[in-house]
Amino acid sequence: MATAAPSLLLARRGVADPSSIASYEAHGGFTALSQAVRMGPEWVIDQLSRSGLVGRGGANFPTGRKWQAVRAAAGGPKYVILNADESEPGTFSNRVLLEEDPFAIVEAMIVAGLTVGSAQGYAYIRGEYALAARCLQVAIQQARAAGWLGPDVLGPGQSFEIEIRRGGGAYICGEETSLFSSLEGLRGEPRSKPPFPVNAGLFRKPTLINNVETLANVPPILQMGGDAYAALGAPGLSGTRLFCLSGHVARPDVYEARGGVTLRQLLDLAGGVAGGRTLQAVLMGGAAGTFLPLEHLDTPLVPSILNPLGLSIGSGSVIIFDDTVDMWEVTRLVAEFFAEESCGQCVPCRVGTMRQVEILHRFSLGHGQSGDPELLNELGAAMTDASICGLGQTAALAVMSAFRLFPHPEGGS
Amino acid sequence: MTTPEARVDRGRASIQDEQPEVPEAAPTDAERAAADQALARFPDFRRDQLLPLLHAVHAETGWFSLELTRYLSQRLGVPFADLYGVISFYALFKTTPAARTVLRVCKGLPCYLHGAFALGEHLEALLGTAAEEPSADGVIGWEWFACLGQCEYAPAILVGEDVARRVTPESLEALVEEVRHGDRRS
Repeated sequence: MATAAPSLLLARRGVADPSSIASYEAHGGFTALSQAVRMGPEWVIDQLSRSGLVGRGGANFPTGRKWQAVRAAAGGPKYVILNADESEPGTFSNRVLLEEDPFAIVEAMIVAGLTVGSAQGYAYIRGEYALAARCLQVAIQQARAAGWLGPDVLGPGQSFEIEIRRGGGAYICGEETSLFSSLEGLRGEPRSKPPFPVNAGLFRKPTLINNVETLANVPPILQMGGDAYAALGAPGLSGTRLFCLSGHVARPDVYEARGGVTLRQLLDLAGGVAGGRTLQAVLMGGAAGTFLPLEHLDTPLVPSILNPLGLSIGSGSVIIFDDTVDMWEVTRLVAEFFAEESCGQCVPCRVGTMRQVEILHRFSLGHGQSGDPELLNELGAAMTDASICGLGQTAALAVMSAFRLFPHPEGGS
Repeated sequence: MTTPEARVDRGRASIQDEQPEVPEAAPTDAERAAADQALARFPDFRRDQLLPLLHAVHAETGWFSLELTRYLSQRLGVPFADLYGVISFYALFKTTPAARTVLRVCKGLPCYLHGAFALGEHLEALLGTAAEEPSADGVIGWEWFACLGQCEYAPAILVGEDVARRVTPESLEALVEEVRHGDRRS
């Protein structure tokens, strides 16, 4: 379980010129697509299934199974969507991939189109990522000029095009069904599932939607073979994963690590706590995540171990807090974030996120009332159970974990 | 230093609703021109092209007045309430008069840990205007913004569409001067 990961996703970072297709091809670019064209869709899906790749946005759904479902889905046209609405606080790996290796994302989207039988891809990029959108646009233009995008590029009758769509600044739109609403020109409000996107996604048509990091894994998997990729990781998390370390670390950055890496190993990669200070807390998975109890510093970060503990890797966001931080102010900021970002469609989330903020405001001002922790837990349970989408379902997790971990503030019970 | 009460109030103020009324008045000539120019780019407008169209209009006008929103709703055949609902849904679209260049101070947790609140307060003092309030000449304004995804470069500020990284009080002062004397757009 070495920390030094073979660089699959960041291999070209700082090496190849992200604005040059020639440079991309000189560093192994488009070999996976050539192979996919030669070997066919069944082979691609088989390799993905063998690889054990699961979605990197946080839901951990097996990618091979998703691609197979869209391929098998009845009706059309089918769509391929790149979910680049990366908005989870503390997450920036998608931005790094789009800015520094955009051709790999274009290549993976073309492979996806070929495999599931789609001629139209959309890259939905959060509105605040202007540079990432420009980098991807350059890559799309060059790929088109080189004959990788357009009519009949993948054989007679097999066309593929990619259109970039920029978001308007809304955290919720990273939730896949909200993203569909937003792409369709509506308020970015989520929809109930089922029906699932593989059968009824964008325009209620079969849709493959994958996170940027998930798609970035596809070319290396096809190049090295699914079995070899799986062997890189650990039981429960195959291959490598990107972790975004930020906050009080010496070298905040995105780090690639083998599945099974521990938080202590990640902290070492990032140079430890900044200024040699003492570690106080770790928020895993951003605002939608949980504060990780420090006794789990040496626990392998794999879903099968974390999930039973009520923890998750989520988007790969790892925010480090040293011993100077007021963790109750942090917790209140998380709650304020959700109250602002709740789309307001369903009651448990709209009202619950606001009640959460009010209780934490009381705590901040030293007016905490007895019973507040119990009230927050009850509220959190209702939000988690009854909200339509992942936002409301996760909006109480960090707050509830704060109540388990941090001493209650003065004035609180 | 801001008092705890002020910080809590700031949290409250950012979570408020608006109640617009459909205006009678026509948009300004500039608004109409921006709308017409954007509409011309979508001759066979489909509803799924609404976000790209709104981006194109907003890039010119910097905000959606109710008059502009009403004009767009008539031209597109989209009900006013429906269109206003979409526009007001997105944080990057302004529904109050906005400065030509808006500085969006990231208040995400990594930026918070690197002094984002002090930075925002410094900016407020430099500009002499409250958050979301454009300068008298309409050149520059500022606001708080949710995590910008520039966490390894905290604290970060979105300047129009560009990102200022690892902002210090000194670099912020230089940035403000640059915006005041340059021709950046939001």
